[in-house]
Amino acid sequence: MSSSPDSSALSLSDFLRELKNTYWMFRGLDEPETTTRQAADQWLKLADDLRRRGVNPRRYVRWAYKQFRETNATVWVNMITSPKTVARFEQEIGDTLARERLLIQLQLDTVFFQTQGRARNLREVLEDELLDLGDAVRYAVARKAGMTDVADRWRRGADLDILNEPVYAEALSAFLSADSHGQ
Amino acid sequence: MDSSGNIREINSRGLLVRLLTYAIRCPSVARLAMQKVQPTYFDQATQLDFFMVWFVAQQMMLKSGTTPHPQHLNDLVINLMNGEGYTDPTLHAGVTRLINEVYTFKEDPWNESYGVELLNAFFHTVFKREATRSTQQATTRDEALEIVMRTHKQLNVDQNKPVDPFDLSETPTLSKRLPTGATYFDLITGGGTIPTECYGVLGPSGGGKTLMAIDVGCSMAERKQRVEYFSYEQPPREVRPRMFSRAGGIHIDELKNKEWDEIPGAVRDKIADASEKIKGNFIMHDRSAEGDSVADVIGVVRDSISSGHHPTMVVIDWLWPLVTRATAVRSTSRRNVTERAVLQSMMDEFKAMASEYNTCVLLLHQLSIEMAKRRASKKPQWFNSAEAGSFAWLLHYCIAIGTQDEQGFCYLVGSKSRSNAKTSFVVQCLGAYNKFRIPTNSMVYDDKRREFVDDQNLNRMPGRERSDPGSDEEDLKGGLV
Repeated sequence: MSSSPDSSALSLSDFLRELKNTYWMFRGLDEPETTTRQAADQWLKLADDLRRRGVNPRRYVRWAYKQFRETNATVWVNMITSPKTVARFEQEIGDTLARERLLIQLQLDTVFFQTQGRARNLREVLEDELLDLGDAVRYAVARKAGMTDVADRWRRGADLDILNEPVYAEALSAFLSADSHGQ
Repeated sequence: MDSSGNIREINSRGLLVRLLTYAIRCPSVARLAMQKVQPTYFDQATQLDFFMVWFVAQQMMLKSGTTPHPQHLNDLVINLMNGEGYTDPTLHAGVTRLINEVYTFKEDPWNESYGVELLNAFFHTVFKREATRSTQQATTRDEALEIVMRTHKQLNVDQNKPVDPFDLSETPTLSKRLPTGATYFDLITGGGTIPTECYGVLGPSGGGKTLMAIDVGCSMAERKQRVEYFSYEQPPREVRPRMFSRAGGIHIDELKNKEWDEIPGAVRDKIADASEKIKGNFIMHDRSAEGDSVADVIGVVRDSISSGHHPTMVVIDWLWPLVTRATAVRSTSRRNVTERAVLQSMMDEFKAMASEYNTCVLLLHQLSIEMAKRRASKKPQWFNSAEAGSFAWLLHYCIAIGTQDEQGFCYLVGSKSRSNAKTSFVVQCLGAYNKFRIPTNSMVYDDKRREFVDDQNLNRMPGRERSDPGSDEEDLKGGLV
């Protein structure tokens, strides 16, 4: 089980806030001012459980959201907070992270091949929508090359990955300076 | 055969003499030759002296385990020839001259790798000759194929060589994945292909099998990895526009139903530019009208390696014509049973070929009709192959392409293998550009619209502009917020 260095240092209320903020970020909505008692209890139980396990809250929500989004149009709170989801997370996160790392590596390889192997212009490569490049990689490479206009186009998708999954921040650290992504 | 070898065929008497010299006198090569080289591999009509000398020498070596004395060998060969009715003194003189040549050759120490190279080159030559002869002389096609395949199995020096995995005196050969450059393919296979492995792609009719093969093939060729593409369905004139579209990033409408002269100059320039980078690495073999044996594929791969171009991938597009053509000539009342037997036998041959020539094989096959008829929301299973379910079980790794929705989104499902977990994700088939792509947004199947949708248009009903994701309509579905 991986965890970010500071996740265990968070207080329960901070941990809870991290979970909820990440969830609403993925939903693309603002957190409602009022919520049901049942939902509040479930969030609290989840926060307590994950905190004791030393799980990175953002990583967990991102993983769970993506899992449920494969088959459900809307990912509800009771899906994210289910103990079964936590159990599945523990089982599958290792494979998921390996796949994420591989995907980033393959995408960076594509950028490298297109620019070095095929001598294509970097801007043209980053804007080529036929190439299999994710938002985070396009954003990070554009950022490093100083193409802010290109980077801004991919910022929203990149945020969801880079801010919530440490694997992205780690793999793209060479492209993202500490102050370039608001971290 | 080592692709770095300089000798491709034994095409002169000098090389044949050198081969016989190593086979009789170099101890390590002789051990191999005793087991592998049959006297009949020498053509009795044109190489009688070689046939006779090797026949006797092999018997003597098998009996004593040592190199025979030249005079003893000469006497026995002459006696045998007399007994068989070859009494012409010029034939005897030829044998004596050959034995002298074999025994006067001096090399100390023996170059063992050169000897093995000679043996392999000899086998290559014999295989080509036998394959041609058997197809011409056999009374039935089955018989011809059987002879060809049997000869092929026999003619490989390294095939049955035992390996001590813990002997590190030579650098151990290990498997390493080689990225193809097609991200979705590399992702689902866990990082690329492993030479010596067989990969299967299952897909519904018109569902992107050929497209995937072209996409992966072009990606590899761009990276200077050689691809041998066997098209059993479409002739090159039909596949070429799709290849141009993929390689040059050109919309297929610019190329479809057009002669070369009708294509705009700017597009032709793009094609020329892309072709320059791929040329020589993506080789297409038209088998749309003929070709019914794995031996044919093996022959091409052998020739390719012999000419110094080691194929990284061999694509069979698609497998079933090969099976049905091979089965069509067999008189049988239980056709489906025979087809399955032929398929299994072919899979075995392909796996042997992949292992022997250190290349990977991509086999395209149909998804079962039951699965192909289902909606795009239903993930296919990697074992849902048509006609013979065992197809997928015989592979190292199998990928199934699901039914596409109107936008080309579909599931890609990969089987579990020793080094890779079972995985699946949604991809988009860009038919106009002959590519697959991983969508950047997470996709979900919308039952109402019967298609995959992403975050941006989640609640847009057909005919409606995008709605506010936080609308009441969504919240009434019954979940907790």
